[in-house]
Amino acid sequence: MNVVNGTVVKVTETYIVLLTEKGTFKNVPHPTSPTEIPLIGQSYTHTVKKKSYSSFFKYGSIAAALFFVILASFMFPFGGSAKEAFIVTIDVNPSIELVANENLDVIHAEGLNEDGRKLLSSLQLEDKLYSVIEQIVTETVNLGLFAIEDALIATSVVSLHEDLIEVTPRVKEVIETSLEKNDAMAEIELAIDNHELYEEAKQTNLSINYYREYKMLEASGVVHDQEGIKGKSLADLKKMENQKRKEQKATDKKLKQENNGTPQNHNNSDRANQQNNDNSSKENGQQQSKKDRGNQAEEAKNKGNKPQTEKENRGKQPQNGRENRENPSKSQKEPKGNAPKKSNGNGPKTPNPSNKRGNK
Amino acid sequence: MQQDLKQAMMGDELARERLILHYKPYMINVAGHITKKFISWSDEEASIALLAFNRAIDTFDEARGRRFLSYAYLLINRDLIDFYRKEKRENHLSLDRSLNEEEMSLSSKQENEKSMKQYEQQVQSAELVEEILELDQALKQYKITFEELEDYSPKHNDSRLALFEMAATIAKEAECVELLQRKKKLPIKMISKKVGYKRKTLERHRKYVITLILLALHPEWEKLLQFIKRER
Repeated sequence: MNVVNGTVVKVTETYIVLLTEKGTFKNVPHPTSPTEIPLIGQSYTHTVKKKSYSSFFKYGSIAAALFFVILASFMFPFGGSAKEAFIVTIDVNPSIELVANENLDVIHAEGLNEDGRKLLSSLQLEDKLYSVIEQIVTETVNLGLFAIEDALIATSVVSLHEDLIEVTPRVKEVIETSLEKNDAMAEIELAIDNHELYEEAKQTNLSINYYREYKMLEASGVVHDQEGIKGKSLADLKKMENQKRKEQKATDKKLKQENNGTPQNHNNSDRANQQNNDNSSKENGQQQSKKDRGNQAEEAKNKGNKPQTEKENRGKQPQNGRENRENPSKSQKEPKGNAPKKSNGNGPKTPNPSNKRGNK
Repeated sequence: MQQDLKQAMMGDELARERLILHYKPYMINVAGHITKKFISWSDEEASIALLAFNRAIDTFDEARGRRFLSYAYLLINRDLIDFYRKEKRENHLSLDRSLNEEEMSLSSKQENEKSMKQYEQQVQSAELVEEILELDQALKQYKITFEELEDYSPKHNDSRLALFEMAATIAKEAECVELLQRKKKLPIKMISKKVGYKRKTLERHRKYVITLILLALHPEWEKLLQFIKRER
């Protein structure tokens, strides 16, 4: 409480003007209950009731906190159900990572390289994961990124909490449908990866698809460090892998010629290939089915048959499927649905190269 | 004002005018005090107070040992009470008017005495009231009102004492005082040049400094000067 003492010098409608004992002037308000108007020359004491700011701030801060809690509950209606459940990484050249919750709502989308960031910034992303994938594929086609030979769309699905049974085939289906809609053709690679591999990829600043390919190349001795893949696209890495496989095949052929092409030797080289593939799978758990298909094509060639198409490969799916099931991480690789099937990388080239591009 | 009062009592209308003008703030203040509400010049009570004051000039007798201001207060008080009684009577007509008038005259006498005692107790001294009214008149010439002086008053003790000293020094500078009284403005440039005070300080407390100079120039305002003693 603050007290002002003084002599009344004037009374206005709003104030009582006091000449204080210190010789300064002070305007004080009229008392709330106007018992009387003081006389000029009368001694007057005014008591200033201090506003209790502390209680104001106390209640004010509580009110503000409550307001923010209510606001937050409106902004995040699932109350933290912005919980990550899936991570889908799409690599064409633009690398994009999509994080979805258990309801398959995209809660985060990030471009992992410059092209990816550009692509995302040009899109008004929808909510659902499948719609977003479709949007990305369509935009990639529009940018003409599938107009090249051996176009590849590598996709990785990492599950954090949920079962992937429904998600994986649906993701592949969405990509296929989107490509079909846009009259584009590309090789689709879909892999289910575990969270550890994703974390490793994150640490090396590579997208998970790149990282997996890099690990394979490193295991087969093509590259020794990340410098070896610097500036190369995923398709380039695939080419490097194929090149290595060709070299391996040439070595096998040489060995076979030296041994006069006996079936025994062929079996040995086949076994060597198989062993190599097994080692590679153990390293990365990837590309198993693709390599198996390559070996089958080689077998067919040895028998004097034409190379197998995708349909034929699919026909032998149970055999591959069994092998895939044995591996903890599996990979599916096949050309776009309605296009004429392209031979796998390590098989002999098709007699008619026009078949590669399909009916488009 | 004593001179004006004598002249007005002798029939000098100009002196009466001056007197009324000088005591106008007092009249309105007394009217508000008696009626217990703020009174402006558009209210009927203000006219009653003015008429009572005018009558006080005519009927004041110094020989009866009363101060003029106390006498004026008494008349204003009585007239306002009469006014309210009259209003009340008109609203509720009494059957026995003669009895009422007798009762009223008796009770009004008692009330008058009571209110006079109260007035004398409340007001510290009639001299102080006179001095405040005279200061108010003096400040009007400089277009200064009491209510705006708060903004020009110093907040800290050091600056307050410095301003007291400053005003006393300026009041001694005849040239500065002459310019102040002539132009009715504080000659800041001259003061800062002659006495060496900061222009910024003078500008910030301009109206308060003028008030202090006026107080210093009127040593007869003894009661008011008590408030600006430098040792306080």
